[in-house]
Amino acid sequence: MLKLDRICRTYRTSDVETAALDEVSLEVRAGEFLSIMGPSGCGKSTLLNVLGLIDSPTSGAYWFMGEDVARCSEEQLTLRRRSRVGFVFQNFNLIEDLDVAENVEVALLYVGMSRAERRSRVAEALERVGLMHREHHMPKQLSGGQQQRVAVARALVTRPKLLLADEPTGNLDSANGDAVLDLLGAINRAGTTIVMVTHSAEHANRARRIVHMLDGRIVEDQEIAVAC
Amino acid sequence: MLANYFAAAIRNLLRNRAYTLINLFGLSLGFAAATLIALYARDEFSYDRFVPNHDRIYRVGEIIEPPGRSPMRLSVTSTTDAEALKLAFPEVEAATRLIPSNLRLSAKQDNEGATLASFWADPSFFDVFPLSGVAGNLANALSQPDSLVLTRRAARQLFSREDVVGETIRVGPDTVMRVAAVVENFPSNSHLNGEVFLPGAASFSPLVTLTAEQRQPGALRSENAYTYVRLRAAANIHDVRSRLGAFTDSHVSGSVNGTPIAKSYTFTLTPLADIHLQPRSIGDIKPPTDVRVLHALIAVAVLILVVACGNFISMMTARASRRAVEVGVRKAAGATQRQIMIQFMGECLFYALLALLPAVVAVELVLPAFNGFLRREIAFDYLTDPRLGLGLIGLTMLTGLAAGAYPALYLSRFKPNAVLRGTALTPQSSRARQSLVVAQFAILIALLVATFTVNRQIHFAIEDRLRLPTDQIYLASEALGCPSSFTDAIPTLGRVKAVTCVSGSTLGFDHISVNFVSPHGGGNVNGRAAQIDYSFFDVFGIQPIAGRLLSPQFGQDDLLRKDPATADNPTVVVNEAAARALGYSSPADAVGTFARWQRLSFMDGRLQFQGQSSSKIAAVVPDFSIGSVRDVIGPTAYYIDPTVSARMVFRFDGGSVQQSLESVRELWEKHSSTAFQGMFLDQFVNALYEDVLTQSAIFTWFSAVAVVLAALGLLGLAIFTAERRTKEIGLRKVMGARRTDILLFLGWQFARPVLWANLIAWPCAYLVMQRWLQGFAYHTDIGILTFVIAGALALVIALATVAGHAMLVARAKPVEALRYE
Ligand SMILES: Nc1ncnc2c1ncn2[C@@H]1O[C@H](COP(=O)(O)OP(=O)(O)O)[C@@H](O)[C@H]1O
Ligand SMILES: [Mg+2]
Repeated sequence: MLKLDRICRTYRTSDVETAALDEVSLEVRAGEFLSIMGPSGCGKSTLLNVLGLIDSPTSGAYWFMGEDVARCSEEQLTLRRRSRVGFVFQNFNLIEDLDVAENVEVALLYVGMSRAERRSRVAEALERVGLMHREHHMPKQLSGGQQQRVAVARALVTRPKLLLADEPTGNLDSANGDAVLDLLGAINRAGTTIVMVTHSAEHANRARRIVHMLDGRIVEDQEIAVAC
Repeated sequence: MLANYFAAAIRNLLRNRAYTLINLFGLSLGFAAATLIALYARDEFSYDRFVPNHDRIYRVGEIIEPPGRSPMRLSVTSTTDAEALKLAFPEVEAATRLIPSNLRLSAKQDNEGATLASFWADPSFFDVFPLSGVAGNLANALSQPDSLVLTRRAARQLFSREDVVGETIRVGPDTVMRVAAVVENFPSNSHLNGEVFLPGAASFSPLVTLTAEQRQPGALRSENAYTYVRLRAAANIHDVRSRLGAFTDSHVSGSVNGTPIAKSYTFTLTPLADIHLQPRSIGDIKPPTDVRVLHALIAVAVLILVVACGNFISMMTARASRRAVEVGVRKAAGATQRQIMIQFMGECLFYALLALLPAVVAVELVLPAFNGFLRREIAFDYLTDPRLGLGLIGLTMLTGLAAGAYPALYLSRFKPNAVLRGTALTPQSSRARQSLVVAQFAILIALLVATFTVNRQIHFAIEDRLRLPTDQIYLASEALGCPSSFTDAIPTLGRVKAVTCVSGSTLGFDHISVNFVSPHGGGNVNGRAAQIDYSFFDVFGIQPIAGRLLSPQFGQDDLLRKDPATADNPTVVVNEAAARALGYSSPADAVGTFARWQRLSFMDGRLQFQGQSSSKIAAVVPDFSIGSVRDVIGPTAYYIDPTVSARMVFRFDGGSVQQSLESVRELWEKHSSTAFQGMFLDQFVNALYEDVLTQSAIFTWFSAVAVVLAALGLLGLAIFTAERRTKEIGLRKVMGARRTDILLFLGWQFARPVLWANLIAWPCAYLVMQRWLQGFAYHTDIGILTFVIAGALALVIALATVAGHAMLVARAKPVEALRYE
């Protein structure tokens, strides 16, 4: 479904040039649950952003659902991203000024959907993360775990083919982290491809494949036998 | 989708209540100020447009340019011109004339009476100016020699009611007239202000008597009447104007020193709607407005809006870090930059509309005072006047879009990956914000310099130039004359320092010419005749620069008192301008020499030029005029001539001026049955600069608005900076900075943009104000001090604004500061 071919992403700050991704090649198949691990600063988030079309590689080719998008403009990326990719972030990134339901709805606004349909989708997504009763709370009024579940709801409300999670449990205690991971597992089983960055080996093991990174390169690509 | 945006906008607004209030308040204030200026400008441009066919009606005026003198513009013409124009130009459909009257009017029982703005008018007046009638028949209301027309206001004033058709009114001491009709008042946006229209057909009407005088062979042309012509619909004004020269040559007769008078005459035809915005001319009924001042005001309105928009932009972008997450999430969800832009533009429009409401309320509240101050009837009927309502909405939308464009672009450009990492804020944003504050303060400083300069010029015009106690000098009206039995009794009162009897030309109320033959060759010197008596110089505190003042002990000084009909000339005192024009290298050189000159005198009941004769120049005095500083003081010749002197000027002795005036009035009433009238010099001078005083007040007020707006902008910057710097300040404190160090640090941060602003503002303000001052023949200069004070004031405003906030920030405990984030 996703295929990176010798992707480079370099950042230029005044005179220093950092290669956040250095000739990374990676293939992600539909339905996979893939974990990315590696020390801080090795390029995990950058890789995720490139995969999710919110960043463009400096060089290399990227086949996103059968189409080379490495040279696409921001506008073109936006159109391809719509309703196909969902994001979950370490720091939740909920909009402070919107309540739970409205935050989830944001993901549907740009897809072109009737109001009624949006409502039922939002309700369905909230149901799935178990937060239907918090529909009209503001993000501030929720715990971290709840906020992240709202973010997960927002990510899956568009029924994306691909869900990208950048350290979704990084800001959560283990109980809440496990809950979020259970959710992601369920979503994956329902057919959504998931790429997740994590520092936790335990969480990484929930995936069926673990990719280890170091200094912008993939150093190990490990398939895990399905744990029954 | 809209609901989602709206929820975000509203909650963002509520969450940042202080910001929002400052932001909306600034925008409202800007709207209110701009609306007031727009209403004022609209009123100024609307003058006389209520008159039907105003585009075909022209006022006839004159520009007289005697050889060697600067041109005089007149809004009056001779009483004979209307008919002559009608005969010479078939395009003229109707012509009508007005001559102001100062007769007292009184309703039957009331003997005090009132002086209302009255005009003698031709019967055709209401044909050209069809005011709507309230009662009576307007069509031939003025054709009877004993019937007059009142406006509703005049009727109310005289009778305390409006249904007064058929009532009688005493006009002057011994004429009774009947009210033939009552008409609607002239609106304030008309160059005319008539309240009473007297029948020009009456045998003693100046329209009749002056016309008869002017028709006598050899009569000197005199300008007394306002003349209006209405052209036929098909007429071509350019065509008419091109034939005015030939008309002048055939119509204006006579010659001075062999040169035809017609050579120095130019007739003008001013479209009715343009009269109010013409340059000043002699005889203006209301002081006209200088279009440049209107343009300046409009510029101020735009600047105020720019400053208000600046604040808005500053505030919107200052909150950007808070909104960045929203942008990032929306973009990650597939929103395009355009969609985000539209969202934020919409939000700005919404804010702008929200700011409009208080602005409308504020204008409603302020308008009565504004109208009272300007003596206008400006209406704010945005509900019934679609153009006003739409204009208001349009202005708001435009401002909202202008103010929203940058924040929208700025916010919508955030890269989602950067935003979601929390590194979205680029350092340029704070530089842009700094530049905004610099621009705002530059505007503020320039406005302050303008305000100071206007006020200095007013002070110069009213105080410095005259150097007279203007509240102790009283100018009696011309109608009183100077009966010697009265003036001789004045000293017995002991309250009057001096009284003088002079001509209107002396005071600059009208112009009587003298012609000097230049002793050094080079043609004639045309100047102003100032007919005075011996105490004139005393009353106005004028000392000679060289020579001696006039005195009855010299026979030649006293010549015209002894023999008014003599062809010889009396001794003269000339002003510096005359001495210079006559070619003397210094005032002292002129003293004692003899000059050949011609004067006007009353002969056979009318003014005529005498033949040339020579007389001695006794002294040279400084150039002096109580008239406007706009006008150059020309060559002036002072000589004793009681025949045309009919204005008394009293100078009281500093004590209780009102009581002194009262005792003079009592003395007058013993000598005469007419009422004692006149005005103090300060009233006269204030009336002279009414427009400048108004401008000054307007500029002062709107500068104050700009001050508030700039302060708000700075406050926004302060809050923004402090917010971004809490951590930095906390760290500085941890590392040992004291509270004063922090205050100094913050103070410098805010003083810097103001100092930069001076660099931009000073040269701009200098150029503009220099040009403004050039409009006055006599003016102050813009001292360097003006700039320094304006700059210092701006700095004080800036520091006072941020002081409170800086204090709070500096006082915060470092741990608290570091706990944020
Ligand atoms: N916007 C940026 N500008 C400059 N360098 C960046 C930027 N984003 C990331 N980097 C650099 O790229 C490298 C990889 O970053 P990132 O992908 O965020 O690492 P990770 O998520 O694995 O911790 C780091 O060295 C980081 O400093
Ligand atoms: Mg990362």
